[in-house]
Amino acid sequence: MAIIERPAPGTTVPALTPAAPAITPSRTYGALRRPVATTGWKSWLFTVDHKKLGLMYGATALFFFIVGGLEAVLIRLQLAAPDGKVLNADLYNQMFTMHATTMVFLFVMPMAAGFANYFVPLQIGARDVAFPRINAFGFWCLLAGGIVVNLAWFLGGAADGGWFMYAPNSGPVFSPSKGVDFWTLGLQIAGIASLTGAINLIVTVLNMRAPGMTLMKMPVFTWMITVVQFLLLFAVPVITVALFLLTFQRSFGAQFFDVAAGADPLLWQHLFWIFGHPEVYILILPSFGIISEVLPVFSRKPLFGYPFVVFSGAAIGFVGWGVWAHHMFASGLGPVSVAVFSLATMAIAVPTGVKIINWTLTMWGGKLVFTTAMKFAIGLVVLFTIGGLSGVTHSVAPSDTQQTDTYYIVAHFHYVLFGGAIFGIFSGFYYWWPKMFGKMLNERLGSWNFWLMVIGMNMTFGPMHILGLQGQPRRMYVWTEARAGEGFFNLGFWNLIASIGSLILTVGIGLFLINVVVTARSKVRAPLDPWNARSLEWMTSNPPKEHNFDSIPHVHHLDEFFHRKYEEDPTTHSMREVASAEDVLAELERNADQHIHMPSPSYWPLVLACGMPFVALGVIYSIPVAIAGGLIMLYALYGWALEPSTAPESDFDAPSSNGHAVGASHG
Amino acid sequence: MNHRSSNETPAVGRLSVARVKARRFGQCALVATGAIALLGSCATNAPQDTWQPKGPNAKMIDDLQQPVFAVAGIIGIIVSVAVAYVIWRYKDRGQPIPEQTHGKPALEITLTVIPALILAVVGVFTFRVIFDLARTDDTQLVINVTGQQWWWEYDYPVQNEWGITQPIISSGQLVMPAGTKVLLRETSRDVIHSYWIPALNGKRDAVPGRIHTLRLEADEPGIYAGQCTEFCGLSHANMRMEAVALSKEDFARWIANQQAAYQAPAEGTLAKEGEAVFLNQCVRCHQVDGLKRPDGTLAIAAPDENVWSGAAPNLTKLMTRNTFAGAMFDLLRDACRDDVWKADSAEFGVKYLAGVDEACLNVNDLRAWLRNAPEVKPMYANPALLTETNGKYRGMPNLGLSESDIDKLVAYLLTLK
Amino acid sequence: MFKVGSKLFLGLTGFAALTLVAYLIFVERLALGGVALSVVFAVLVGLSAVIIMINDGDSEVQPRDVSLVRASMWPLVTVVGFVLLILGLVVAQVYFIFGIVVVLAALTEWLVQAWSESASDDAAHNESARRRLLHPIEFPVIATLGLGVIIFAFSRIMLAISKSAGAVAFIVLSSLVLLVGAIVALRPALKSALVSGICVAGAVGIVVGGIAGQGAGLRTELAEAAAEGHFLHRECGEEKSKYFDKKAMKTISLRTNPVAIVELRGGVLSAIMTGFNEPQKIVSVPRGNPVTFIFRNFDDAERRMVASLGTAMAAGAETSTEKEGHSDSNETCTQLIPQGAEQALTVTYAKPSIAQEDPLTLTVPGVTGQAIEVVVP
Repeated sequence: MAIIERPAPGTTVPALTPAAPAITPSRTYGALRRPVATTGWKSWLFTVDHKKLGLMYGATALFFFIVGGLEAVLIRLQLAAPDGKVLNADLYNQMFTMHATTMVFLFVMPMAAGFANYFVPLQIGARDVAFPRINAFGFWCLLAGGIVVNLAWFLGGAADGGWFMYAPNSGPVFSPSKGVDFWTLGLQIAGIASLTGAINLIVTVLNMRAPGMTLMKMPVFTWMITVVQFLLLFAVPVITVALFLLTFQRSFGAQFFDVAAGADPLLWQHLFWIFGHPEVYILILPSFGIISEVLPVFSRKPLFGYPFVVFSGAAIGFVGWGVWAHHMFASGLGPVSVAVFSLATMAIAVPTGVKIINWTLTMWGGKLVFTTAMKFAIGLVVLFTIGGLSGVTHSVAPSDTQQTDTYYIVAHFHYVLFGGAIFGIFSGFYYWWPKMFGKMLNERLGSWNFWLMVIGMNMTFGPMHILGLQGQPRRMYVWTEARAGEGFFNLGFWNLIASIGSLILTVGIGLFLINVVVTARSKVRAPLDPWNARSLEWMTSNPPKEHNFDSIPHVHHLDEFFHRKYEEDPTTHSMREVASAEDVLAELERNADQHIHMPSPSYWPLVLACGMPFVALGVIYSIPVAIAGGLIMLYALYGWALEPSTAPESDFDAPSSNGHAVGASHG
Repeated sequence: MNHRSSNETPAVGRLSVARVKARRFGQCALVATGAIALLGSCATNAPQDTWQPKGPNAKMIDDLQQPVFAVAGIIGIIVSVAVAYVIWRYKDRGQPIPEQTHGKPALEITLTVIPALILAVVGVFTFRVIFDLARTDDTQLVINVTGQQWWWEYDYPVQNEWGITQPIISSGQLVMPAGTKVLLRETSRDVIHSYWIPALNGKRDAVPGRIHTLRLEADEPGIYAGQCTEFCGLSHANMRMEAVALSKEDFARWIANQQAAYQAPAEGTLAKEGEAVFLNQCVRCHQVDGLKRPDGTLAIAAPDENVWSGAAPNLTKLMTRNTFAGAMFDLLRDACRDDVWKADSAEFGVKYLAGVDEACLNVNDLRAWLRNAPEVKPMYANPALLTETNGKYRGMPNLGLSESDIDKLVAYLLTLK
Repeated sequence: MFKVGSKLFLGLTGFAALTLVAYLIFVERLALGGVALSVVFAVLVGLSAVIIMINDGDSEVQPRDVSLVRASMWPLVTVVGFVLLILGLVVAQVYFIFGIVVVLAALTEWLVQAWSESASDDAAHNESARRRLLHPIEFPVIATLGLGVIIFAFSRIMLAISKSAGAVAFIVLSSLVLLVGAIVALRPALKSALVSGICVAGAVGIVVGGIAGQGAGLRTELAEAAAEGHFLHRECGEEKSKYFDKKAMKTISLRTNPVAIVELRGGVLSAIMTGFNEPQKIVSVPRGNPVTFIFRNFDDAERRMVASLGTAMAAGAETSTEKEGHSDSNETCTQLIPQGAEQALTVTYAKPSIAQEDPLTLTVPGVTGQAIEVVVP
């Protein structure tokens, strides 16, 4: 194990000098000590800092975004013309399964987790999350899970049952490759990340808010993230149970979904969608939160109807549990269930509509500044509305029986998830990039990025409405000219347009990556408060110091930072500036806390997460490997439990010298 | 502090005007595209168009959804126009930072109640249609439908009022009388499939171990295309269906023919040799009712010993159908196929009941299929992949037939009508 | 870098690796023995890693203080282990295995204790280092063993006493656990000796009860069922005794969307199927497909429904009877159900009706002249 720090060869080992105590107690513990590196790769590998972990979540998610995007492009190339030859049936099935899996579990969820990790403690004026080591463990689990799921590509083919993995098609007979095993086990591992993250952030939000920050003064992003964490807390166990059953069915001969043994395959569908529908809100609410930050900042107005937005978010969180069977309108549930779920689905459209109205009214009467972040936010409002309205058309259950499993549904949820979740994420990138990296993303490239994505997205997914309504089902590796209809604007035409659109979309996203590289190479530092922002995360340096705030601010307003900078003119009711961001920050620094105690890094989250892929591989190939993995995990658990709560001061380098005393800090 | 005072960064301010123009242009383009899309899509006559109902069940759905689409469209336009107006009206022209209002509850509640009311109205109508579409008590004809990777089996249980005195078993095309309330009793032999004839009704999953019902009724005789819509594995894309509606008289003729006794080919013909090949190879899985072995015993197929899901299409009256291999291929040449598909409802029955003759047989696809089925339709027929199924196939394997065997078989299959 | 302790462990690890390889080559491929040896190997790798990491060898050069060496029970336990081991060679394999486990455990404890006593000059610290290394292994092992014993003992009690007494015993015991837990939680000031005393007393009580239960043997109906072979019983005729159906397998209480609901009402058997407005006497069932019938009994006697599966059965056909290992039987049935009850029966017909000598039927034993014909096209 390379995680132990040893003296370099040739240096004197202190223990050998007879004068000094033979071995200091902290030395004896070896690996049970806590790592202390503050720079270099070790400081990332063993970090428990929520900001570093947030960035690692983000980087991982972005990588998987590229992977999932390439899969999508392959799918569209295959479908550009009838009887496509780019992929064969088997590869196509793997491709669409993994595209959805990657985008849902390995891009949008971890990206939201990244933003949440980075900004929730900053927005509530905390120095870290409640359980820093669990936070690190969550990230490594996500990475391990992502690797396991994708490992199948190299070991006989990836999962090929669709991301919904309906039984019995996912059983060992109907999916004989190992792909589904990798999928179930990988997602169980990744699920640990969501679950631990949920508990961590809920405790953080409920317990670690800055003085004066009541729940109704919390930024909307933090609110939405909190709702999402509750959804995760209850949804992830359900999918874990389902995956666990499937693992046992495939690897150990269980019969949970075996009809001949008396099982009912609809059990899987219920389990999957009881998770799957809250999952939709898990994917979209963080983006709602992001643009609820961005729109007020660039409208120079507070969010219109803050309590309505918050409560509609919470309402979505509740009602989201009662609509799962609308994914199963064609499954044969019987008219009573269908009717109930149909009405519940209509009901959930109301709080969603409330949000759209509030965002529009937030901009109403404002002073709109069209930065790239703002453009993505407005893009979300419009595109999500389209997706939401097409959603209403299939809350009408009879109508849904015509539309479900056609491209109309594909169009619907891409408007919701691409036009919604991903546009929100990109808005977050542009808005928070200077906060995370101290440099601003190039706005000109950003504008190109936005417009290419808008055009590409509408060209790709817009025609899918038509394709679906004209009867092209999803998940078909080829479509045939015999069913394409007549005339120039037949299904062939729209398929081709969609494929061209996907290439434009790819260029748009490519521009973002170029923008990242250009920004990283640029020497220009971002100003302290580039957007004239409103919430606490901007009330610190760019990027923030490891301890986030020199002194924890006392909160009096919803938009605390804005109200420290501006005061209302009593006569005109317009706002005038009373302090600059630098002034506000200097004020905080004058009252810096004398003793700031930050958690020490740890080896064990990484070691513990490393054991998991071995267990997964062991379950698939050979049980002894799983036992070895289990031993690694056991070892790590005890290491975790037994390591000291912080590293001894003597283990650290000289204290930092950033102007004020920071006890036991290493930042 | 000018980088974030009322004028913002100069660069941002300068660019935003151009961008708003570009945005508006973009929206115009979008609207235009949408309009073209709608106009264009109306004229395509796609066989699976969900907006062209051809029977009362589909019509019921259509009548329900058209207003919903209209209302959704109007709301979408209102929101887009509102956003566009806000963008144009309130963009930063150097106005002071506005009053920090936190909302107007009365307005909020109004704007919450309006969509709720709209949805309540939609909900009432939805409720009615859901229960109307679930009725089974007015059924006139029952057909059992069984999905299997990757084809559908239709079996007509004994119903004397329709002249069905012994069970009829068919595949590839669902034949039913027009103007009749037909109830499909769907199930599946392996994974979940979904039965969908868009012109006649929405889809309904065929779930193993469960019997689900689906009402079908066609107003006019004709042929209606469909497609399996629940992902069912490798050849999901190739699992198609065609529903054939015949007038009641034509349907009675079809029934009579389906129940007619087996006619062995004449001695000495190529077809007779084909029958021998069939008995030697095909009958392991494919049943032809009435076919006798040389020793006089009935030939009974045992697909359960060779195929995982335990059945293979019954070929007794193969040439009365227009498709084979799970409706992936047509038995008719293109010209003959178009002749049937485009026939008007008056003469459709005659053309369909003529079946397939040698002149119209799509011999190329049929021969390719007999030569090496897994090559033209992806299936789990690779012996290396059969460990999980104890060596049983899923789909038709490559039988390694010689070209002369294929000649004989084609000649024999042509007699099955 | 490799000092005494690590060398010893590395040697042991190497030996374990050699044993594992030799075992895999000469004895069997990855079966139980191989797995066990792999575990031993993995544990040794882990321990060696720990020993190397914690710089054991550094202690060699230190001045030794005799007083740091503490009393140890491990030499004694090791000897006991060896005695067991040798006894096992003579008497029975189980002692041999037990002896090996004891010897290995004792040696591990001994090694770590010996190491810890020379880890540093601070005796208290040395003891805490030992605990830190060994408690992670000791606690779970002891806990698992203890729980295993208690669960096993409890199961003996439950099998010995009658069914109703079993329920009472279960409720009483769980209430006691809840009560004691609540008291302990409400009064954190309770002496830990008292709490552990109660726990130990409870555990001892259960173990004693378990021994007594083992002595008393199985309760009557279980003993009778075992003697009459009820556990394997799959015949569908009249019942043999009052305990007969309690272990019937392959039945599920209820299912939605069955192929047909078979009703026995007033001595008449009829099939109700969606789509058919009249009760039917013929049910058409797809071939090679698991289908579910629901049997409803409106007769005042207890009845079961029997499905005949035909004489022509496929060699590997997945029928419920064959899965049970009774391929001679060609029928399957529901449990006996009382009036008003219903039960599902899942059946697969592999062969068509025309291949059968007799028609396939659904019948109810004791009701003559009534049968539903099953047609498999």
